[in-house]
Amino acid sequence: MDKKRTILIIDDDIHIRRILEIKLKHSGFDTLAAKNGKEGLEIIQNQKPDAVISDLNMPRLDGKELCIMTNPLKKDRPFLTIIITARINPYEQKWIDEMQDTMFMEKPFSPSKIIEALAQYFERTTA
Amino acid sequence: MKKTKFISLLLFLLVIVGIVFISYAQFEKETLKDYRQIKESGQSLIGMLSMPSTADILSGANDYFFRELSQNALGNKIAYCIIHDGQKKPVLSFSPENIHQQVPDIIVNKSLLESGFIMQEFSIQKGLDIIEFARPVFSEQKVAAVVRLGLKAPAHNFLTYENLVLPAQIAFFILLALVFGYYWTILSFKHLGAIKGADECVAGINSGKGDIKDIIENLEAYLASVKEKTHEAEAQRQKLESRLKISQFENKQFFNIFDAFDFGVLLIDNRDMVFFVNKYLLDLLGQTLDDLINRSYEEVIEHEDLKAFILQRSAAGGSQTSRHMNMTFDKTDPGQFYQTSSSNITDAQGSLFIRLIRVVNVSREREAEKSQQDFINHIAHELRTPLTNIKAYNEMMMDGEINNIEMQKEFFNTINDETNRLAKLISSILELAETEMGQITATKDMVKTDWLMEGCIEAVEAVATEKNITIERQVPDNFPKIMGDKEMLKSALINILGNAVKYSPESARITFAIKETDDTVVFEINDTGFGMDEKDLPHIFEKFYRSENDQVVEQTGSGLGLAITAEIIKMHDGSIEVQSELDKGSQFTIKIPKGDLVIG
Repeated sequence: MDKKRTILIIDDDIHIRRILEIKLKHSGFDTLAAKNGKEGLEIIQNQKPDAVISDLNMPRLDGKELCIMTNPLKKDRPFLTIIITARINPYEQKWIDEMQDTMFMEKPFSPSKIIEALAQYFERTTA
Repeated sequence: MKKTKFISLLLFLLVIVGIVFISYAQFEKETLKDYRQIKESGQSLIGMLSMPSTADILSGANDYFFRELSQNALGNKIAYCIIHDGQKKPVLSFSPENIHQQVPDIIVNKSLLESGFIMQEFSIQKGLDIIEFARPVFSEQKVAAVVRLGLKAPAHNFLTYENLVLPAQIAFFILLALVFGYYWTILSFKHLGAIKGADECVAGINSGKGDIKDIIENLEAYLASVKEKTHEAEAQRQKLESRLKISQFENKQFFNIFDAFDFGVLLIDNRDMVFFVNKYLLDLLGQTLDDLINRSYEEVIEHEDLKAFILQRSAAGGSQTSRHMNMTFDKTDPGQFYQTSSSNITDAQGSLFIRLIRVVNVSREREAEKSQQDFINHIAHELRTPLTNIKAYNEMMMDGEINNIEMQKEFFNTINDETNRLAKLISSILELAETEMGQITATKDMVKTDWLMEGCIEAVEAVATEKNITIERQVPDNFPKIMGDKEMLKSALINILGNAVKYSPESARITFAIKETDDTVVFEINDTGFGMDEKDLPHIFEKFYRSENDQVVEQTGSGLGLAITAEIIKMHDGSIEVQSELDKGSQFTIKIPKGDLVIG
């Protein structure tokens, strides 16, 4: 049996954090949670989660800044980042394309779709 | 006509006679010259031949000398050379063409019998004249020998090739001069003939009809016409000059107008030369007009993006459509965004005449566009977050993943709360949009401030009681009245009082005061809550602005409440001020003019 994968959830909305925690735990993942990008960055650096699910629009280091800051870390230790966003601004498309192992999921998302995306990623990277 | 022909013929004959005369004179001169040369040569040669001793001459020692003479000195001019002895018998004879045999006896005898130098000229046949030189050689005072030398005299034939070259040359040059002269005259008259009146004159001259009087009359008419044409040309010139001045003035005016534009203008002609650059663009480029004008844009424009744009549009061909490119001029105008577009201006035939490049500052538009995008992003975020929760919680319940009854209750409550949040948010957005768009106009009624105060406290009381927060009323003896929209004013005050309750810790104290001046009613709401960071204060009335403080982030909120309040107060010509200190609390002061109260 493989070691449980750890997924970090970063969102300033408590309800989203809560539902994702429940869904991920039900699906066999360990979870970590952060209320903003700054907290999330510390956890990524210290606890090295296997994937990150983050809101885009957040106080104290938003999802975009977080992505840009964590992208270089992925060279040595690749991990998936799923950015949850209400809308992708046309101006944002450029930086999005430059990020490694990053995907976007538009609100309102389905928790099942998140699990599917994680499963596919882990299947691909461990194959 | 006859006269002209006669004169022409006479002139021609005169020219011919002249040529013949000159040629003949020249020929005679040349012949005489040759004659003199022959005589001199003959004399010197005969002298030379008769110098050696008689014995030598007779012994033929000079035989070799003869041959050399015939070949080198006088060449084929020597007809013969004969040496006679004392008895007049020829002893030596040099005569390549045997001409000596044709010499008449009278000539020979005279040469032989004379005792001194003798020179005789005679003709042997037509075209061959001989000059004979003779000289006796004395020995012991007796004639021991006689030397006779015959030289060919210069030919007297005038019609030889050499003689004809000179007159031919003269004739050629005269004819050449005549031809040039003729054509020059014709050309001059043709030129003049272009002018009305000169035709008749030229025709008269050409045809030879009419007399001098006619020609003079024609010339006078022609001169009058020339004068008239000159006047017309002068008038035309003045007209053109004034048009040029007007055109230059208009050009200058155009350029002045271009210089007054608040966007850049660059004109490039169809030879890719810079025709004009207005002041605005010169400042942006950091170049002067003299740097650029009448020079190839590729060579002189230093801004790479602008140059590339022109080149790209140039390569795109002469289409009328204009395209644009965004660029910056960081050296001269940092932080600003410019949009460059190009249009082709064509002449009546559709050929490219001028390319017009416009450089427009679009920073404000971009900023507006960006803030609009931000606004849409905020709305999307705020609306979709509760929607996400509703969807996600609902999906989990439907999938049967939640079996625990307590958790199911929690899920239902969350779905309910998020639905309320969404509904409230939609109301706020609509309220704000309608207020901003002026679709809602304040209904000005007389509003009692005691009613306002109680209504506001009532709205927040439940939450306040839950947090054990006390709201203290500070009121004047008589509640003032104001003219305004009571529902709107209530909504504005509830937003502030609600925030005071929301962002205060449990058991906190809030003061709601109403004060009155001559023409204004002042509402003051003080709390001893979390307060606001100094950096947040300038932004709190912006739409969707939310502080990043933990106490704020933990609470749900749209970031629209204070924006709506500000709009309502603005509609009532009032003002709102805020003083706040982190961890100490905030004070909001709202001043609303009383307005013209209708006492009733």
